[in-house]
Amino acid sequence: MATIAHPGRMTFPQAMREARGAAAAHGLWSWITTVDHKRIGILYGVTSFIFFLIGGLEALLIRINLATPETAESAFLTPDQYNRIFTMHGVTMIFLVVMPMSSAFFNLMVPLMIGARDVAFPRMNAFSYWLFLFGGLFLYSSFFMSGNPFTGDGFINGDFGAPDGGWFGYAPLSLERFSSGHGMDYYAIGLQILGVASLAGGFNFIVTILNMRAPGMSLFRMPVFVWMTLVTSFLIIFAMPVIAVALFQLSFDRLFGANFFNVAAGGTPLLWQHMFWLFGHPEVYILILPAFGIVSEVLPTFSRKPLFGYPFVVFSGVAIGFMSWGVWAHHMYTTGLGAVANSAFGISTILIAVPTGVKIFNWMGTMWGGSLDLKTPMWFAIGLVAMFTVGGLTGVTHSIVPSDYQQQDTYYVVSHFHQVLFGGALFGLFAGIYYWGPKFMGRLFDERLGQLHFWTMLIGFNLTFQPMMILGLMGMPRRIDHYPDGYGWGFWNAMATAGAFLIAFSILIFIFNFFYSLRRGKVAGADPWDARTLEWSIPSPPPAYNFAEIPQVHAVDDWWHKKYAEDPSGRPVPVPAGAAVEPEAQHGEDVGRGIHMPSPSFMPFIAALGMPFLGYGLVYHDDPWLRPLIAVGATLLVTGIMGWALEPATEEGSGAAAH
Amino acid sequence: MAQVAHAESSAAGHLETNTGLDNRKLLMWLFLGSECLFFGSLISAYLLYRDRSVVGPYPADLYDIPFTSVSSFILLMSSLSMVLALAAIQRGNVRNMRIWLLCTALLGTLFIGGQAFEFTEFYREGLHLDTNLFGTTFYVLTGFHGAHVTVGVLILLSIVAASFKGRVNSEEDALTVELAGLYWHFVDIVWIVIFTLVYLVEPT
Amino acid sequence: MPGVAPQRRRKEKANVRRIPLARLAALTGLAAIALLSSGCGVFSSPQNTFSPGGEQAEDLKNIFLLTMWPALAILILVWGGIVYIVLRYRKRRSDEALPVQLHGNTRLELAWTIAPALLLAAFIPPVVTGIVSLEEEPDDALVVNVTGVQWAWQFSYPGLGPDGADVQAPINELHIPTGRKVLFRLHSPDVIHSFWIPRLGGKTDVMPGHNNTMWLQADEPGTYSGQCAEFCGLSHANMRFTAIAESPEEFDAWLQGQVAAQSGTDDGRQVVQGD
Repeated sequence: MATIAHPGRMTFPQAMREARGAAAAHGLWSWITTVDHKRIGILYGVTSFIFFLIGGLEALLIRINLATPETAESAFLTPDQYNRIFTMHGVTMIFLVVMPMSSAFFNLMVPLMIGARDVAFPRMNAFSYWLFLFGGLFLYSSFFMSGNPFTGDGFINGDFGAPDGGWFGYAPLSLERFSSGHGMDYYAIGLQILGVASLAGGFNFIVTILNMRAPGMSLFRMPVFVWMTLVTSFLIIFAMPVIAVALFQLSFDRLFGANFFNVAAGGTPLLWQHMFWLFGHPEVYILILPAFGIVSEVLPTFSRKPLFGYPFVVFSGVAIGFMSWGVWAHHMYTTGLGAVANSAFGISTILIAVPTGVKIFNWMGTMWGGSLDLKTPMWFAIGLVAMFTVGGLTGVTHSIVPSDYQQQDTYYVVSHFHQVLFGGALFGLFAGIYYWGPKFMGRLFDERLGQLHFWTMLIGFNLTFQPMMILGLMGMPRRIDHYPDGYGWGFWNAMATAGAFLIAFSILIFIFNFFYSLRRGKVAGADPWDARTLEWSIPSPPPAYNFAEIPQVHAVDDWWHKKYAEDPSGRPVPVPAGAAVEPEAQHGEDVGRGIHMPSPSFMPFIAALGMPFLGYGLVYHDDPWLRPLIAVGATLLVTGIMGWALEPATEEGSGAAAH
Repeated sequence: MAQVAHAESSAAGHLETNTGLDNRKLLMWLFLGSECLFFGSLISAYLLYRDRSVVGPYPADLYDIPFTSVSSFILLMSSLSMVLALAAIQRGNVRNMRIWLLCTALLGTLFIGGQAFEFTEFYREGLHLDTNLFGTTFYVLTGFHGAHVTVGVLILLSIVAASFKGRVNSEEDALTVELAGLYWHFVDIVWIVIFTLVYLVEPT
Repeated sequence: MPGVAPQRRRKEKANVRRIPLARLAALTGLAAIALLSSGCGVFSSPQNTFSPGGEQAEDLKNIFLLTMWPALAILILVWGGIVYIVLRYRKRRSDEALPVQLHGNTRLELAWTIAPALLLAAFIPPVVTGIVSLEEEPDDALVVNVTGVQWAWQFSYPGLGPDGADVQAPINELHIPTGRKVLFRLHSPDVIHSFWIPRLGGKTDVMPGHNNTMWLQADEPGTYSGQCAEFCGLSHANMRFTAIAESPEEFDAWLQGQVAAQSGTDDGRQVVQGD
């Protein structure tokens, strides 16, 4: 945290450092050393969007392969390529897109929404981002690691080295015996690195939210997005260690001949499944709750009225968080758990639909009686409510255990979770991009292009994923690289493939809109949507210190209440001019001088850089020439962490860095 | 972890937090909560596989309960000296803090030494990581615990080193020692659970 | 809505009417009919779970429909609600005043918490009875040993050969009698597979080191298509088999033929090596 130092008391070295800091405020080095939550958020957003494009490309390859009935030989991809592509599609979209894109919003928005100048641990935040980036690059480097990685001949010849055991990595298929090559090693270690990144982020946001709220912002005055960040972060810190252990077990089995999943030694493949899904189901809510939070901000703003039933929405989110720990075995109904377990998990799965349904109804209640300003973010939010409902209802049909015996591992399931993760999470994230993007771009997105993006994506989405529901009921299993003539699946698959290309087209519209609006968009101003929460009380883009003066909070939607009073009929009337707070006005020339923000640091980068080296060293620990990479990685990690511990968090002498 | 947390938000210590808990302390509690799930998963895997090894050596062939009891007692005592270290720095007594921290680190090192000895013994008697499920689950579980103790020892030594550099040398810095202590006690408690469930509860 | 000026409300109604709802609905209906008739056959598949060939598949289809109809009703309600809200409450240029700032309605919210909970609770009994009835091992069932390996299916009939020997079926070919429950004992020597004949019933995973069982019954004689449903590696998509349901007499005849063929050649038809 920054404290205000008297400018007159600035020491000479401090002045020097400030001058140097100003010179280094731009350029690559400033990004590598940044600890500013907004810049880290932007890094998260841009990186995850690039991974989104890669994951989308993989989806298109999958769809091309399945567009028409083929034989294994005539299909576009070989079965081996297909398996690697669909594995990486899943891993990418979950760990490298939806989670980090949510993290981008945590980073960008949470401090602004709670009236803080940064997160609790700015350098740990940077560490978290660099781990995510290096983890992602580490995973993707596996593509080139067959054949000679320096010439890339393996990749060029279509021999991808990527993981091939599915994102769920079921043992024993993921063991060395059945998945030779190093693909699944990259999976196990790559996800481990990404897990540490998520953990660091999770700790950081819990502490930030619990400890650093502006005065007056009690828990029940927090924006719902902040609440959902809190719930998500708790899920992360409790779910990630479970998958960490599972991944360690898999790594030990693959790399050092341990027996965790070795059936011949008495091990059971069910161990992996229980641990994976004990993490995996909370993970589903880690993916969706941030989007729920975004929508709970967007709908009230554009309906011009408060969220309907704030406590219900918050409590249902918390309830979902708790209940998500009791439903994991619904991924395992067909594994022979027995009648008792299946009944228990069936019932818990039925019940988790209740708090989810509450949210849908409350969102509709929010819009009801409003004055809906149908801008792009609002369309995406409405899109989420509509499409997630399909995902939720198909989810209920899964809780009906007997009928799940039919649907398990079919395209019905593929349809279901894409309704949730695409129709839910991604629509929500796009709502967030269009809603909060202008806060950081300083300019508004082009409205017509935005709505064109929305409608093409909505149509493309339905064209892609609704046919999959029919395909599943028509008996098409998941994860098959081809299907021959005579199964009657060609028509719907062709439709799904056409839809996928329409989605791809809509993304191109978005990219164009982004670059176009960045240059030519209307200037956003501080509060373009006449919105409700604190982040709109400061300029767009916000200054490094966010708030020149930490705000005093008096109510939920505090910023709205600063702008409007309610007349006796409950209708808002603008606060008389003069009393109204002009957002820009409070930031004059000299405002913000003397606020000391955490110093830039490259230590998090160094520490994080050690992890992929450690990873490569472990993957190739059999090779005496590559084994030393473990030492290199460990040295980087320890150096980074020691340097980090020893350097002061903020400028020396600012009074804040006592030691 | 404690070291990282230490310098990370030293600035925040001077500000009021909403919960009244220092950021770093809250972080440590959350981290330990997360660690519970980590060790919980490892211990569950051990218990799940306890009777499923198809070839020996089995736990009953190898465990030397008196020996492990002694090393457990050593680790338990290190918690006591950790408490004394914290009490010392809270009174501003840097010299005693150093002594007790070094004592804690020494006891921790002794414990690690005991574990290394135990591993070597077991290994010589034919229990390798890949021998059977017992070997797999035992080495991985106790190995991760040992790694935690090792990290703890390094943290304690770093604090002692820092105290000579003028970093941790007054009662205002007691929090750093307190955080290291939280971590140390946690690792100690985990060992008590492991010792009870893994060593003492008689395997069939 | 209380507080909405009558003038405004009238205007909104007029706006709603201006939307050619009827035409829209007609168009949608036409499109749907066109799709269904033009794509005649787009719903037919040898693995269609909606054309059951036996008791269990029929039950599973019915329990699916039991949840599908209410789910569809709720979906139409929500979507209809959204369309209505968007049309009715969208902001118009003339709108200056802000809407009433309604913060919630506890009673209403409790209602839409409890009502779905009750509706969902109603599903619990059929779910539990369904699970239990599928879990019960039938008494006088025909037993078939199923071995799923990468990437083929081997079926054998324990004790039905001479001197209580097993009878092997040709690879990827399953014969069962109609009108009788068949109990499958599932076994895998390598990775996880999943045994599934969609038109006859649900699937059960074939786990290494963990022998599951399941039963099916074919009522209609015919050829049913089966497929591995759990991703099992390179040739997962090719791990298909055919189940031939025939009258008990025909089945017995086939069995005798297999016995004769096996004793005649004794070439170790057992392609699949158990572990």
